[in-house]
Amino acid sequence: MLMTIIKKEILTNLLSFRFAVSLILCMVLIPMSAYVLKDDYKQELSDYNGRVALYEEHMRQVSSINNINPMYDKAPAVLSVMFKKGAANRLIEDGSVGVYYGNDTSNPIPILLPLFDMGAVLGVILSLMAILFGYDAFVSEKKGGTLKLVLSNSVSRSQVLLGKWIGGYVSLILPLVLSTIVSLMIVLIDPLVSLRGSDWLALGLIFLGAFIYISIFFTLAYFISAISRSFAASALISLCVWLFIVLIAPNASIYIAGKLRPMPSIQKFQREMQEANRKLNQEHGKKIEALMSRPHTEEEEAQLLKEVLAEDGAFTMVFRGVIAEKKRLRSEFDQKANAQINLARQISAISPYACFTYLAGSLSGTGVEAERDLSQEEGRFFPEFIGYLLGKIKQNARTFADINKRTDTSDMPRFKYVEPGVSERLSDSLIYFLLLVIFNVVFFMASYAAFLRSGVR
Amino acid sequence: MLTSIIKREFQDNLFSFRFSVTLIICLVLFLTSAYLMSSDYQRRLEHYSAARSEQEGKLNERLPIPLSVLAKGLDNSMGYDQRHNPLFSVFDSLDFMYIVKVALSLMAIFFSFGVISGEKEAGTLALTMSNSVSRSKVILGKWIGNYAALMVPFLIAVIIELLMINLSDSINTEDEVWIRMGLIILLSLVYVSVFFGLGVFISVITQKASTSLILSLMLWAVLILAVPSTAVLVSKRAVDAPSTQEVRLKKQAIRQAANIETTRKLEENSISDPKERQKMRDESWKKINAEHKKLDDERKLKLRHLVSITKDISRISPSSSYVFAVTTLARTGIEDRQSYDDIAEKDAEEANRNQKDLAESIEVALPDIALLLIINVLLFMGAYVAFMHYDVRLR
Repeated sequence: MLMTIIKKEILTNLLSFRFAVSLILCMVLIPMSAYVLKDDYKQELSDYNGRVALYEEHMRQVSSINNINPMYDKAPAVLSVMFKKGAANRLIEDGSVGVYYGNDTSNPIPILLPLFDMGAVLGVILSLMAILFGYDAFVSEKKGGTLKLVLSNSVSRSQVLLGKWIGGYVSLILPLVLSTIVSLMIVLIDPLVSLRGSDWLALGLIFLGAFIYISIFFTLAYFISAISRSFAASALISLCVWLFIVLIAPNASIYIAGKLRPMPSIQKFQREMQEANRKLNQEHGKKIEALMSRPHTEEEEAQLLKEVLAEDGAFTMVFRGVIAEKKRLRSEFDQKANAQINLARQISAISPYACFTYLAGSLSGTGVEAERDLSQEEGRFFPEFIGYLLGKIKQNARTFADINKRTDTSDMPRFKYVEPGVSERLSDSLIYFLLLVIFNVVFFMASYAAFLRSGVR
Repeated sequence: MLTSIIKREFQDNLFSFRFSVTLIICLVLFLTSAYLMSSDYQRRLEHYSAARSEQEGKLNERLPIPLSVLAKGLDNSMGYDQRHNPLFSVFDSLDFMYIVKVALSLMAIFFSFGVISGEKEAGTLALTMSNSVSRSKVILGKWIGNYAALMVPFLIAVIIELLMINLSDSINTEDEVWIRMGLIILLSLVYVSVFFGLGVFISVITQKASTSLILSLMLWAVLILAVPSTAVLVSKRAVDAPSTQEVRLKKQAIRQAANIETTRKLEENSISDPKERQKMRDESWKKINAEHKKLDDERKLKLRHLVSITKDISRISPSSSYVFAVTTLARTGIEDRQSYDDIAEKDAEEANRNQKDLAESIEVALPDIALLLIINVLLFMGAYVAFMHYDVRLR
């Protein structure tokens, strides 16, 4: 009997107007989004390679110790061909941290007209379609009189509920599956877009999350359909709940978090950083300035440089102290800033849409975690770079003037951001998977309870 | 007869479930938005004042705009929290403009999708038309009556929101600010009527209410969500504007090449006189700055061209026109940002003082306002013509 109900639901839906509309919408929006974002990804990859080439050329031309700078940059995440709208895609420029290269935000249009990528199609359009597939599941059959006919036979309510749910859900995700296959073909046909095993795994996990996410709205619509008396009321309530979950709650949570946990004062932070730098310049900077501004011998200069670079010298001790102090200040600042971000994420977790967005961002390498990882990598690289710089000075410079002379800097370490593995990305997103499953279970149980108690006459 | 139809439609809606739901949604959304956006504006203003006094009045940042409380627009990008909280780039601002753009337009669909097809299914349309009432009066009466009913919860919530903003003293409400607010509200009414009209039009060309609901919602999703962002991606392929990073690296390369050249010349010519050396360095910096400016000007030109193309393509969607017009009236739009950037290059304080007046803002927003009005007229005409040929009989 269950199979019969499932088959009937699938066939009824396949021949319905809403299935046709869903299929057309999915087959238009999803492949179009993939096609355009693929081009965008290729452009960004080309831009990144161009920046690397420009930097290497600049390093070849410069070749003196005092003119070398690290380049903190990362290639676009390959899964941004589908999931582009993420925190790690913004350009962050902060003199106290470094410069991160991401998407150029000097174009104001994307700020006014936000991006609609695969994540948004799945998160917004598919959830809306799920509502449209489910809002009249019981109401229309109740009104049409067919529900009481079905239940007057020897078929249990739980079989009816389960059969309708499975049949309806299968017909709902069919357009998604078909359009995703077409999108993947469009993306993979290009030799510049190559997915490694870990990327395929991450993509698979994102789609698993998407299927769970879509079923939340489908189940929610079923629940509302079971407790409503008219299809208009069912549609209205379902869509209002959708509006709240998808479009209101995530957006409001950021402002609520901003009110409850304001960002720490950047002025105070910058003042403290400048104070730390002043300590370094205070004694030794003045010594160097005093020597260089008066006539002096090469020996005197060499002696001062040796003193500055001595491992157990006062300068090195102060330098290490200043680096440690700046690291502490930075960490304190980040902790307070992260307090707002974490609170916003916690509040917005009441919205399955926010959970799915974080999950997709985390697994695709375009989310908040990627930005945090980049910041940590920069923190790890900086001491390595400083160590290299000091080593080069000790090796090649006898006087301060030698720092400006040509030196072989081809062995300078390069900053290279390595994307975290799938397991690390999954551990970041596990909580959101769990929340999505819990939402599903709660709504399904609510639908079950509501349907068991609802009158069918 | 027209007045009777309008009254009847209005009263039917007032006692309907969707009216109550719309009223609750409007009150919750607009009042929450007013509270959160006012607090956000206050916080940004405090940060700006603190930063300004730190830098002894010479801060190179844009003063937060008062009407960003209603339409954050590009004021978003200058915000302190926005720079340090990445979630602002993931989710949209919950401002008045966003609520109207998304929630009110959705409510408009609810109020209009069953206006004709729903009555046909219920059998009452045939009864109405069997009397001596013209089709034009029916369609006009239904349009006005249902639209007026939709506007009641919106206007109640907006009035309370404006009172909240005024009483909280969070923004300086001079006369011009009130006029701008009034214009934004009027424009919002025009925008919502576009989607209302769309719903009526689809209701007239379909036979079943459920069909018109599905079609209306799908079109809503495409127009609000998909079209604007697709326009952004499509226009990037048409115009190749160099990125900030590219220009920065080129500038760095120019500086380094010039410094190396200057050092070489100083060594070759054995110039030891400090004044001569400084003179050479100053000349070198003049050349560097001129080349930097050339790069910046080229980039600015290409970027503005890209923005212009993107705006034109995205205007396929009424929501884009609405966003452009409202942000212009609120002074948080593209043109205001561009004017600020042009003047701020020399003097940021002057740029903050020198903002577009009301007449200039209206002039800039006029094409988008006109577009929304034209779409309204076309949708009404479409619905009118379709209804003249509509089969009202219940099959």
